[in-house]
Amino acid sequence: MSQQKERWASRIGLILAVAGNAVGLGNFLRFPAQAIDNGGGAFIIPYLISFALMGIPLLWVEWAIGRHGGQYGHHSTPGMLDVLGKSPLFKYFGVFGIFTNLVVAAYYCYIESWTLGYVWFSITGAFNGMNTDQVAQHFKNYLDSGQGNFLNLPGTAFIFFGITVTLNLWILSKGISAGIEKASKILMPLLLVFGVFLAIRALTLTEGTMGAQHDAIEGLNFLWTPNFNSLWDPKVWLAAAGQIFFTLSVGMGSIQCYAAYLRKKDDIALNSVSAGFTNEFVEVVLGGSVVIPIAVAYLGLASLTSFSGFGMSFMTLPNLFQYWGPVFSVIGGVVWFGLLFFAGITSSLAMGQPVMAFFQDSFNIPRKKSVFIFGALVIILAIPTIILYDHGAFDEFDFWAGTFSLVVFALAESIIFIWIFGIDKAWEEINRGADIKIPIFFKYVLKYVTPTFILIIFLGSLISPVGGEWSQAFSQLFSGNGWPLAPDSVIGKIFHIGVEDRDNIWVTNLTRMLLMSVYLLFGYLTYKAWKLKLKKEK
Amino acid sequence: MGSTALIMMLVTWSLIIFFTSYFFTKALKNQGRHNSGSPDDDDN
Repeated sequence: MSQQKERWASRIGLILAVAGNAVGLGNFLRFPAQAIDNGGGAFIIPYLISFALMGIPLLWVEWAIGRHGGQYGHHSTPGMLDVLGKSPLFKYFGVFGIFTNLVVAAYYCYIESWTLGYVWFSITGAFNGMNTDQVAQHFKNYLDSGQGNFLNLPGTAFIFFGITVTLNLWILSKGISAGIEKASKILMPLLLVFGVFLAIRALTLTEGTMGAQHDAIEGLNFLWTPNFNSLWDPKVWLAAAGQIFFTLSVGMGSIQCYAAYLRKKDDIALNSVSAGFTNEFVEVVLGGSVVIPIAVAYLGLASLTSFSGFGMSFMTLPNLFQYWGPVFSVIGGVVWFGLLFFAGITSSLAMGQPVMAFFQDSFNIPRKKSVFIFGALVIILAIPTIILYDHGAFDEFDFWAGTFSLVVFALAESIIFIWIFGIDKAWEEINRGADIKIPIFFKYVLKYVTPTFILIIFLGSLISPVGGEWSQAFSQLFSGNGWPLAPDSVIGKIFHIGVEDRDNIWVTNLTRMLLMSVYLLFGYLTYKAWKLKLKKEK
Repeated sequence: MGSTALIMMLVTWSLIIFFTSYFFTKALKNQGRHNSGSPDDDDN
């Protein structure tokens, strides 16, 4: 493997880059929806417990795997798992860390480009004079969705997607410290300023001001009123653990990649909790204080009954901002969609680096060329998600790469690192150079609790019942009426449960074959890279 | 806003803000010791 001399230039830059990787669109759009659906204020209890017992330990595991692999010149997960020893097959598990980043980057850059497009529409006043239905229709037109055509061919969306990908590639081409780190140092503080601005604006909306029909604080009341009965519901615990899992961007291979540019004795214990808590601040404090209060101020509590973060963000908020007057509606739109764009791009950059590092390490391809290869692959993979959007290609990418693979990989890496590499060596690795003393209690959490948490999430996703109603599902099973498998469970997805449109089944099967091919391609490239390495060593 | 909701929110926010600023400040204080990019510390 090639010895790369790239390093982070500063500790604050590294923490902001890792926090930027974790802070994404989900912090503002997914978290509030999950909290509303799962017991309001009571949701935060399993959420914080999951953060302490699964989230933080998993962050330590990933940082430690990354820094350890980096000492051997590996900056992507196939090599990192390979040097943990014991089996030559580990590196093929590590392929998940390339596959996931590449596939997620393809559709994530597309969503990111929507936010950039909406910044532009806000500046140009495209929503002026539109009513709620027209704003919602604008979003469908933008995606060329629901028009009755087999293919979605959204011209404007293609342009903004091209700009977004180019911007990502330009930053990635600058390298770790001059590209990713510099961008994070500019974008993360801006994101925080925009978030605080919007939260203050949202929470100070009272009935009668700026066209508000209700006090925004009613939204916060709804979000935080605890339903303690929900704590006995397995659905709530699974949702909370799942939210922690996805918000921290664990199971992707990007944290490991960033940590690989550290030195052997650099701290990882404090860095990882700093980045993790920064993400929690953005998610819980800011993420819960923007969309819901604004929605309730203008549309009332009824707007939260079937709350969708994405729908509210792109199809409703641009309309509500118009109540703020000609100047503030532009500012509101630019700040909101700008905030989402910053959250998105700091995450997509983290997806690019591991893929590029794989080509750089394994085949000695220079950074500029690896940027070009990554860009080409992202565009090729994004095309089906764009043109077959209405047939579910986008959702297939999100489910298999953005959800299922993360859990599988996190489970595999935690077992390999903690149980096979060994808890004693793993503990030593995590604590080397540490600027905080991690309580010994976490050694046992790492060994038993964290893998169990991930295993439960994995099993839960395989057979999750309709509506996540586990108690009902078990009573149905024991009364001999079978298991009510949810359409969005892994098994439900595999067998297309609930899908009636034959076109959609055909498209989803093709999409799955494409995703499988991507995994096999990188598996083959890993095989070739190691063959090449052995040849060189001889 | 209901008092239970207010307490839930304030306790959660305080916890998160406290730990975020505590860890961040600690990391900034040790800024020069680690991850500083000084070549003499390179053990790769």
